[in-house]
Amino acid sequence: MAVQEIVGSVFLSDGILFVRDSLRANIGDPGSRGDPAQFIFTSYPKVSVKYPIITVKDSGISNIRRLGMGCEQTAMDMAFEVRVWARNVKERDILTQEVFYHFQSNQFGSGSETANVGLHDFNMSSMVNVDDPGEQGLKSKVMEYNYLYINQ
Amino acid sequence: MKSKGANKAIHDAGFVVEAEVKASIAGQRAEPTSVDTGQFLNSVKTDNSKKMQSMVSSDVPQSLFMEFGTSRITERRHFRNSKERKKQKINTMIKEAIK
Repeated sequence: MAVQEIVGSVFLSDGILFVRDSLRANIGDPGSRGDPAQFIFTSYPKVSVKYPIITVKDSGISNIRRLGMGCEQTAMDMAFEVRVWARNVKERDILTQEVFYHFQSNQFGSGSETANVGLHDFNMSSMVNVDDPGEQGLKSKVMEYNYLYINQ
Repeated sequence: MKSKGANKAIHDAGFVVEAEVKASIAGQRAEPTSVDTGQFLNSVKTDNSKKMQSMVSSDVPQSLFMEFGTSRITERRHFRNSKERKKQKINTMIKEAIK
């Protein structure tokens, strides 16, 4: 995996790339495309795609606070939006479960778990269904994951 | 008594967020304007029926598409951005109430 640690000077891009690469390495593609780059993206693709896909975006940084007097380090809340776009409800829900379970069970350890790269205090704040209108409309689920990050 | 004050502060915070969401929908913030007939704008309500809880919501079907986007519509984030913009103010309101 490319991002081994979220570096303070590039924490936004590192954070997004870590989440994306972590999903690419661990979530199986139901479309059997063979290339995870065709399945998991960091923004909604501009070119035509085959569904299902997963998009990862940052939802902003909030609550940035210094760690103490005379200290340049900050703690902040980082939010990531992971959205599953699928052809039907079953596919959407299976992928959503896999994504959630991956983040839930990949927090602590000695490898590339979230706590090791600098993302602590796993929390999922919302999960909302947003289905395109119509019977044939795409089914999507928007999840928001929050982490505590210490910028050193 | 502190819980009464906190309850009032939380309910007041709901109205603060509602006003911010409406300003956002009306085009007075960075998000794109989402007014055509005014149905969406007028549907934003604050529910303060529960203690220590305030819920700002809209019950029109297009609100979900406006907030989160679809495969064809870009998201407009009226609610989530409003919440972020007012977070600091809400924290201060509640802190003041329970001092």
